[in-house]
Amino acid sequence: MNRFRIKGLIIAAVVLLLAVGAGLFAAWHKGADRKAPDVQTKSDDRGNADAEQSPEGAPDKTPGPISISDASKDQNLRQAVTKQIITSKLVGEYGATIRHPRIQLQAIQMLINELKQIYPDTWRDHLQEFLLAAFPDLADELYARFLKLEEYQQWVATEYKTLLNMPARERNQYLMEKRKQFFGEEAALIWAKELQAQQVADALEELNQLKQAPFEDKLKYYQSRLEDIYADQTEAYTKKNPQKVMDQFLSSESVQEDLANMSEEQRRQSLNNFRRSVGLDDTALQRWSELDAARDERWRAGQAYMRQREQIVTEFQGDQQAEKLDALRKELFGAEAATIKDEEQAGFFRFNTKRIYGQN
Amino acid sequence: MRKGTAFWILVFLMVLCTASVAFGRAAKTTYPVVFAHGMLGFDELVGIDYFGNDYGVFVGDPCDEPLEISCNPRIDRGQQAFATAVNPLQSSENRGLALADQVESYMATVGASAVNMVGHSQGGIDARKAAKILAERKGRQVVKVLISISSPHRGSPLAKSILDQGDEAINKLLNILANAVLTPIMFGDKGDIVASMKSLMYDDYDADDGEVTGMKAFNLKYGMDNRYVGHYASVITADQENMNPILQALTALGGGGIDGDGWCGPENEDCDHDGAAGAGNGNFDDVDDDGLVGINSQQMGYRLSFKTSTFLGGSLTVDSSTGYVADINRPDKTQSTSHSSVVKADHLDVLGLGVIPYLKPDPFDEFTFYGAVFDYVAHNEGCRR
Repeated sequence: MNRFRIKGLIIAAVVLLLAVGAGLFAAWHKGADRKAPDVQTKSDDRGNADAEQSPEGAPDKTPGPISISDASKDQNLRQAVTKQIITSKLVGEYGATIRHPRIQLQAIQMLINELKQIYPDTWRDHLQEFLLAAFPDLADELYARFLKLEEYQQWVATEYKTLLNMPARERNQYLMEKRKQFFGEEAALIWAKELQAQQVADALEELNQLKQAPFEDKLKYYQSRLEDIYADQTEAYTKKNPQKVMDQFLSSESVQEDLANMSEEQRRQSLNNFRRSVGLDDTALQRWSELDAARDERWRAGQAYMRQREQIVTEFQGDQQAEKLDALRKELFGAEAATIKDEEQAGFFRFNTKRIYGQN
Repeated sequence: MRKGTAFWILVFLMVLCTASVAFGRAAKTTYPVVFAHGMLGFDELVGIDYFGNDYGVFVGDPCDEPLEISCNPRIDRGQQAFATAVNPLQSSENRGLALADQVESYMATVGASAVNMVGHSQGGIDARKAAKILAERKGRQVVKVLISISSPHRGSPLAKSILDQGDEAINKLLNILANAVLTPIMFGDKGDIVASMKSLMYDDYDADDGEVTGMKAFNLKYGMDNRYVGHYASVITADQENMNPILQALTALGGGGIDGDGWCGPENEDCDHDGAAGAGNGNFDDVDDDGLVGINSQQMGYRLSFKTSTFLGGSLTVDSSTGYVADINRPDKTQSTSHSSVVKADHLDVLGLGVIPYLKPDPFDEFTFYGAVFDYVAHNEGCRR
């Protein structure tokens, strides 16, 4: 069990003990008050620590009739417990990273969502109070960021039609300029993932332009661009997303042209080196070697099928043609034969599509 | 409630909570969860993760590094997940095969013997085909749990309407999509928007073209089958307010709203010829669709109910009131008309795409929702049906 899990469990245990204590107190208090019920009224569930809502937003049924004084005390207690739970949840999920501006926005959004469940109409009135309880040192900064976020969202809401009609690249640049106006240089941190993804897209376009470069040079270029983009996080990013890192590179048309022009053995070696450079170990490389071989076999069978299929369609008609095609598919594709037949009935011929080495 | 009862309820809650670690963090799935996107889909090349939050953080990224900031705190720190990317504008025959190939690749890379799949919109349909192909290739069931979200299992009226209008509407649709999301990723294969639309309406669009397309035929070929998938479930969405502008534009292009909460007898054909199975109830303005898909098209297997709780976070549970859709072409009347457990969200709210920064922000909490999805998967990997 790592230290994060231990920390999470400790936080959970503390809050749960608080909740248990508060619940026992409430139960005892309620039990005492119910001995002498007076005016009956309907309790509302605002402040309920476990206020489940239906998707339509209708609150669940509340407990039976209790007294006004009882309801008031109970509500106060529930609100206190709820506040404790929400603030602990905020601290537990975001406390360690709350100084990052994007995390601040995520924490604020999470708090707003929680508050809207409890105080649907007055959630704004409680925002500062909860921020102060969760992050006393940063409450003012967080509230100021919330106001900026509101301003930004308001701007987006009024401008979205204009933005929607702009070409994507122009729009992205315009948006980042505007975001900088609202959030300053921190905009680059808040929307870092978006910027990184855009840079990867740019790198892949650049890769496509390197048509004359050999496969190994393209790989070096791709890896150096990833290092530019992810900096000291490159290794962690690659380790966490090996499939994505591989798929992106192999999606490049110029890379595929190189692979298509190689001999089978050269291609096997190039793909093996590429995968090893992404961090795959010998066991994974062995699995890939088997998969590559199976795919090569499928495509060989597919090409043979398309040739023989054409011949059968030319030479036979009706039921005889169907029988011959069924037999051919069964012979070449085994368990997938029926699916391939189904695809053809829908007008899809899988072996007329492009082979993408390392992907299909 | 008396003291003793309250005490034991609280103890029960405590046990329940600690089982999922702190504050509703999802249980870890045994097998990785693979995400499959819809027609408006891509991975993250345009900057916004399809299955992400408002800032492009993938919902399946666990917080497994010290002080990590780009991760979902609602999932287990050891969770494995992967978002696939197939051509956005292709038929599900084409996309389902590409999806199977990608899952096969991912399994080789990480050494998984099986996966779970979560598909949004057309992705939920593609996943059924992918599951069948994977089972055929491996000679055993590979997909343990398949959850579809907002998927048009019985067709979408928009597809038929656009095909009926011809080239002008198709070009307008391409423009809407290109401006909104697709331009930066259309490097190579431009796709086939006509094949895509034909595959997303219920009936075969053209009986004379030598091809049998549409969801009705697709469902017969790639229906629900425990040889391919262990457990099927679906999340149903509908909303009428604050619709995403892309959806507003698509709705206008399609000629108006969708009447998506009717049924048409046990055979449930497309009686009103709108492109989706069943019929409407005559009211186009009620909350019976999510901007692209009617609620009568979305249930596959179990219908799931999404609830949020301050204490426990989000949860998905089976809504037993509508029963199980076993024959995907023949849901019963309740399954076609019930508004029970319909999540109030438009077709794009459940995605990072729903809050593309240049569009109207939505308050949907993707981390919590997908945390609940992971948790549901973890608890149903061993279940059949």
